[in-house]
Amino acid sequence: MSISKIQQKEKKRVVITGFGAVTPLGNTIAESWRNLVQGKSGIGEITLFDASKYPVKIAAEVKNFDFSANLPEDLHPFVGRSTQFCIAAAREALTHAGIDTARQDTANIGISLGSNEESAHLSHWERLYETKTVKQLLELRQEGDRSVPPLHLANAHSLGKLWQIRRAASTAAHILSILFNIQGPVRTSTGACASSAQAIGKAMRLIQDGDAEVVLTGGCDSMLSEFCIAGFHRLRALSRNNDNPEKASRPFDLKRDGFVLGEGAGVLVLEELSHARRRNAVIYGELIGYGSSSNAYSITASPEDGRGADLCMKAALRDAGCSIEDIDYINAHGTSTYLNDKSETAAIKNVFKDRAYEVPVSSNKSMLGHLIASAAAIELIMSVMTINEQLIPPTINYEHPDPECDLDYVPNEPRCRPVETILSNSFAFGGQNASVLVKKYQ
Amino acid sequence: MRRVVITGLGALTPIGNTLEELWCALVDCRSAIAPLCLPTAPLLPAGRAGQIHSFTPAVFNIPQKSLKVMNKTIQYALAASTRAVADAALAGSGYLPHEIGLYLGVNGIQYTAEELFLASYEAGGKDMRRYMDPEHQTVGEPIVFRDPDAAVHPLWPLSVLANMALCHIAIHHNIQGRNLAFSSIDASGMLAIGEAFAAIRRGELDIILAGGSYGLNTLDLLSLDRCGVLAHGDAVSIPFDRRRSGCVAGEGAALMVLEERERARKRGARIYAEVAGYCSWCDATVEPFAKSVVPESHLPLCRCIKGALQDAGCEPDAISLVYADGKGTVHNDRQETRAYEEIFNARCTTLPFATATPLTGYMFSAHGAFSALAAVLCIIHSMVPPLDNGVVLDEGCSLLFPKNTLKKQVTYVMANTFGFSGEHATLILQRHE
Repeated sequence: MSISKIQQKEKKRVVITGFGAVTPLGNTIAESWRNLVQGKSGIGEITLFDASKYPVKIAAEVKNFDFSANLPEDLHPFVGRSTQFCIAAAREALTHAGIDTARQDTANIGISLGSNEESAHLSHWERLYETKTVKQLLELRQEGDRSVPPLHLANAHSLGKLWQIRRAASTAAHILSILFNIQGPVRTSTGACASSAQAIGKAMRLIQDGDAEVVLTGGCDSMLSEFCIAGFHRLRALSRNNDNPEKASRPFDLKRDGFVLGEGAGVLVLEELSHARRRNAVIYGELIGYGSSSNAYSITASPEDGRGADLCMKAALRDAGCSIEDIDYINAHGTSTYLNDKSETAAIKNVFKDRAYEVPVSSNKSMLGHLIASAAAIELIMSVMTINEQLIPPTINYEHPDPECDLDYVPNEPRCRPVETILSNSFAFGGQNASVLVKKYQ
Repeated sequence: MRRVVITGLGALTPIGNTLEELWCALVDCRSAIAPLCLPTAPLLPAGRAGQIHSFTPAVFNIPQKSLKVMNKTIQYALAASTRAVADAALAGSGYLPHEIGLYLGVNGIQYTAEELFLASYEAGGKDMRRYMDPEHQTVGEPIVFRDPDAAVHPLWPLSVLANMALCHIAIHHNIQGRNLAFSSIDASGMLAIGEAFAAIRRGELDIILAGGSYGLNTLDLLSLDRCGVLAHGDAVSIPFDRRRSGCVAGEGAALMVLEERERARKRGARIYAEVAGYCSWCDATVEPFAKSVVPESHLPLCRCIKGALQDAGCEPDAISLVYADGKGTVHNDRQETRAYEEIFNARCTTLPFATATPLTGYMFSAHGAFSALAAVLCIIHSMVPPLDNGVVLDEGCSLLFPKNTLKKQVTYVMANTFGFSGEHATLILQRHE
């Protein structure tokens, strides 16, 4: 490949021609967006398991979701909760984009998803050990009792035969490829809370490199299990505002006390511009930049000075050839933990200098909760909606200004204002960062 | 066109923790497959595995207190990364932290059976007799954590999240650049290296640390067995042998430093080999995926191999060695063989093939990275290691597995991962002149 060919390749433009999502605020984009700009909260009491004895009793669950989706029987063993959401979101996105993958050659269509391994629920293990515990089984074996069935037989009913495959993070992408007959490149990235941002960055590259002309990208997640609720609580990362679930997620507010775990899926259809034009597709926005970095700091904490996160915002700006003046709105990672919000604010100031105070910054997580591997995809979709509706979603529950977080967080009310270019941030536990730049298509 | 070279290698495997040990074991066919050593071993149908027994975290400067947030996958990854970074002489190389990328293939969240047991045990109120009593065998009864704080270790989420190995490496070596974690079961490690290669070639970065890691654990052995792919009891790892009965699990990590050639040259780095081509491919057909994890066709792997050959701009005839996936299951090996027969035709009888699974077991998310690393060693030493003595191939199978170490110049090596889940990857490595 000659240099000129590389440069020519870099000129490929990546546009967004469809999207779909299943979120705690609604099972379609239209519903989620409506609730989001009305400042509604998708957070409530946990219904997926009995959380009455847990210190954290709230989560952002997907509600009234139809699990009887049209799936071939033989795929059922592979499809977990989050994959179900992903299928619905992908279906909505493809319909939205007007692409019928069953009726065309799909070698030029790829998939790039961010996902997490399916969470184990306590109920799996309750049945796994049935009447005997591992320890007891071991003791009996050591005593020479050979009648005790090996674990794999004891658990025959609880672990699905193909659970190893089903729980794998890459399965959602594989299922989509099968279900929608997609034969181009398939990628999965697992970067915890930044997974889908990384997947979107990868999708952009697949198109820019000419490996695909259309890519289904985004992510899905459902970590709402006993283990994750208890585990994240033990890390002191979750809000314990059980009495006021709707008030629990309060990014950048002085009284924030942690994030609210959620679930959902978001899928976008990215398309190479000339391909989209040829088929007269409606173009909702253009992806113009992607940046990725790592804090190299701590596996739990974000650095207070915003180190790492600023690198990734700068990398995205550089990739897009944009300056800080071009950014009209920042869709923040804004988890509502003490450290993230402080660190993100510092990082935005590092990058935007004085302009940091002029750019509106809001957190969709104040309403959606933290949807982990699907967060970035859903937030990017909301950013695309923001560009199309010229309406910035608010940060709700912003009541007590924090002197350390002193930017314009679009408190409590949506804001009508011209928006052309948006920076969307995602920062993962452990220090993986990814930023995506989306622009009005012109 | 930007060219990508390999300038550092690091591995931690059942057959050796240094490149020298590893190479000696490969050419001597010294197998590390031994009776499975896990607390739950008596309960597991798989009787043997390739495990790492001689690993001292302190040797790799991993602080004792960090170990509690590191499962084995993380520890191995970190150790191998330390070796690779040292091998590439990255310290003082002039790269700024944000210029260095990190691509890692890992298995996803790992729950150990012990952890889950503990949680279930605590959940039952620490008195499981109730469940043992024949009169109280009401299994469906809902159980909750009486004391979630006691049931789940506060650092537990940190030891299971799929991106943690990557974050530990980033922290340990102060790597701040672009990063991606791959967890596509067994293809993960090779995907990481292949995607790193593609990113450097396209000009996104000049240097990336890439590879894979895998720590053996009860839960994987259980659930893999449920898929019907593991060998039982005393069965050994004999890929491509007609007596094979399944995959024997292994564990380990392999990482390498990939670098843009001119930049590597400028800093005077030692260049082991060049990455010439890469392709990954995913089956998009319902049948093989849904019925089981048994591949029913060799065509997806063929497509992947052809893609990589095209990417490298070389003909099948140019390949001087194939590092096969060699899972050892009846079906995988058969389809893999068919793919080679289709690609190489009559050359299969003269083109040497290699696989390390008889020695190490199958290292899942690390395996593709390890195959690539072993392939580099073959290039360096101009040698092809033999397959563990006396393989009796399938009837009609004509692949050439050397019985003795073969001395020959290795110009192009192809390494393949033929994934259980339908995700495949092929790398083509080239001798660097």
